[in-house]
Amino acid sequence: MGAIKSLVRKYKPTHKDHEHFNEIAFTHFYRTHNQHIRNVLFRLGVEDELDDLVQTTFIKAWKNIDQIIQSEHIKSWLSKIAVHSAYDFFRKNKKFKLVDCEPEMLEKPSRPNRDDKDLALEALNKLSFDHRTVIVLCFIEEYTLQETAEILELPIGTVKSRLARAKHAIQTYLEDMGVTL
Amino acid sequence: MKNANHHQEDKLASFLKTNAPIAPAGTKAQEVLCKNLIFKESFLNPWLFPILATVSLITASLLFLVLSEENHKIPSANEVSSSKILYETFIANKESNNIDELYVDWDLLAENI
Repeated sequence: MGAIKSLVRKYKPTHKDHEHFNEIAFTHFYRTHNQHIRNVLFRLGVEDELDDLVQTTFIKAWKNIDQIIQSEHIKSWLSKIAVHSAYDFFRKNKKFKLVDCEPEMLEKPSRPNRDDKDLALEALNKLSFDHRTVIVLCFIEEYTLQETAEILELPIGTVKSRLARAKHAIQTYLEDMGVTL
Repeated sequence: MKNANHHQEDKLASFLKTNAPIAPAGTKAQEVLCKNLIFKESFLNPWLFPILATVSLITASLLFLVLSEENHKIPSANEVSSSKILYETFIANKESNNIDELYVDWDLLAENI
C-alpha cells in the first residue's frame, strides 16, 4: 500500500491523466482488501447491508488515504473504519444490542448436534456488539490486544475485560452445545 | 492455572478461527459502483459552479457586445463608395447643366448614406 500511496503522490501533480491513475491505484487497493473487510463486517453481524457498508468503508478510507503513514497499519486502519461504520449502522437501525450482556442472558440451545461452523456463528450471534467485536478482532482476525484497543479507541483494560466476558459467554454456550475444547 | 486458562483460550480462538463465517464474495458491479461514487463525484467538485458561472457571464457579455455593434453598424466600404459615386455623378451632371440627368434617386442615396 505504501508503494501505491507514494506513486499516487508522485504522479498526481504532473501526470496528465492522474484521475485515471488514481482509479488504477484504487482498484488495486479495493481488490487487495475487499474480502478482508467483507469478512470483518460479516463476522460482526452485518448481512443484508454488507455491500453498502463495504462501500461506505472504502469511500471513507480512500478519502482519508493520506492518514496512512505506515503501510503495515493499513489492515487495522481499514478494520477500524469498518468496525465504526458497522457500529454507526447498528446504532441507527437499532438492529443489535450494543450493550454488554451477562452470559446468563444468553438463550439456552434448543437443538444440539449442529455443525461446528453453525455453532461458531450461533455463538457469535448470541453476543452483544461490543463483545462480538473483541472476539472477532482478537480471536478471528488475530489482532493483538493493543491493536484491538486502537481499533476500538478504548483503553486496553476495557478490551481485556470485554474479551474475558465474551470468552466466558462463548465457552458456556459451546459447552451447553456439547462442544469440548 | 494460568497456563490452563491460556491453553483453553488458545483452543477457543482456534475453534472460532477455523469455523469463522466467511462473507460472500463481492461482485464486479459493486467494485465499479464504488469507483464511480469516488471518481465521478469529482465532476461535481466545488469548482464546477464558479467555472460555469464565469463562462456564462463571459458569453452573456460577448453576446451583448455583438448585439450592440449590430445596432450601431458602420457602413461598409462598398456602401460608402457607392454613395460617393452617386453624389459625384449628381455634382458632375449639375455642373454640366445636364438637366435630364439631374434627377437623383434620393431614396437610394438615403439608403446608402
